[in-house]
Amino acid sequence: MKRRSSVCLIGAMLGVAAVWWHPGARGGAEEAAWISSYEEGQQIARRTGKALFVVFRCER
Amino acid sequence: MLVRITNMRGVDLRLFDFDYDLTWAAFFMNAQGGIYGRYGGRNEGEAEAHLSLAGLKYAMQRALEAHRRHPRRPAELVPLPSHEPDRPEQFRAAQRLKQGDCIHCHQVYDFRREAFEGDWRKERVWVYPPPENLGLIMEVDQGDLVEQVVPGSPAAEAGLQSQDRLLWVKPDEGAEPMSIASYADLQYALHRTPADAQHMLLAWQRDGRELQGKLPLKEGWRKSDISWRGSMWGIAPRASVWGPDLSAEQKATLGLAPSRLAFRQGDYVPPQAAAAGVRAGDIVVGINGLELEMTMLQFNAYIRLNYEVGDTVTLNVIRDGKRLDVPMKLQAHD
Repeated sequence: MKRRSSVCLIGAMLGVAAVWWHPGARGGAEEAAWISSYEEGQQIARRTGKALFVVFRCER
Repeated sequence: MLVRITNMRGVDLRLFDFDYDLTWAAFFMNAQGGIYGRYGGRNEGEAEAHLSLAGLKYAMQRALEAHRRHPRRPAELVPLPSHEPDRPEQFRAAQRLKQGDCIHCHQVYDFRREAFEGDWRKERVWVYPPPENLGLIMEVDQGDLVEQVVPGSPAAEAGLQSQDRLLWVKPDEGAEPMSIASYADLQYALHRTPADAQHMLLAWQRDGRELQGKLPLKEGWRKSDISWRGSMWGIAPRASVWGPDLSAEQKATLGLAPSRLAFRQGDYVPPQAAAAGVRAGDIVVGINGLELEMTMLQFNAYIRLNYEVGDTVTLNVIRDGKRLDVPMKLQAHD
């Protein structure tokens, strides 16, 4: 089984997720930036018709 | 849109239904709240064993395809028991927090346990059963691809084979099929399957053909090692002893096998254990004379799952090279 265990893996995933989720980010900077409010993300997604990538990250 | 949530305050638990013990979990969804897929998930192994960049990319691509086909998929809210609020901050246990304090994901399980007010049963710890319980080993880089089927397992009985691509799972015959693109999707489908279900339905693709089968679910199919779960620490009774596991070499000097339970009690000894006579540096090697093969974390889970508050147990310890038995009454708190 392939393993990709690394303490940096999650950080790397979040780093590249933006590129994969919105290649080219044609809708502008707001699409490519992480925001911390689901409601705000919903509003922008409604306006742009884009899908949402929502990450829960427990930073305990 | 990229949304990162680090505080569970205000989160709708009917919509964001996930394994709250995870350090991270991801949803692919639309503005209506329709969920196309999930990413994340783990079992008792390494926290990141089921994660990879390739696996994330695959699940994302599948979700974006689904979004193109069904851009307005509606939200499906998970019904909650009548005694549970749909926002974490509305639980009574959350009222003890200072206003504005962060609510961590794993606290949702703690809040829910307290909300049962004594009716909480230990069977409720079996959440998010790992697919490995059913004999399904999935590829990390493509979460719907079966890497291996354990011979004689329920997955083998259903007819699944290595390199089959899972398409969907139905928790019961009347349920909507839940599409699979990741380990998290599969684990969620298993989670939604009732504990007393006799079987679940699956569809998979092999050599371009779609096949379906019934996967038998046997007694205890949801059970797994919960020792990695942060929420485990809130379950009573408390073992009240913890510390670093001894290495195999250290165990050998004590005449113990490498897999035997053996951990050194840390400098802080909780009041319950101190009153019983446990001292810092004691090496805990068993309970009630049982030769247990487990880690310190697993021992703490074992106590919680197999004993009740008020039970008197005998801790077997080694102190200054001598074996001692320490009777201790288990408490709800340390």
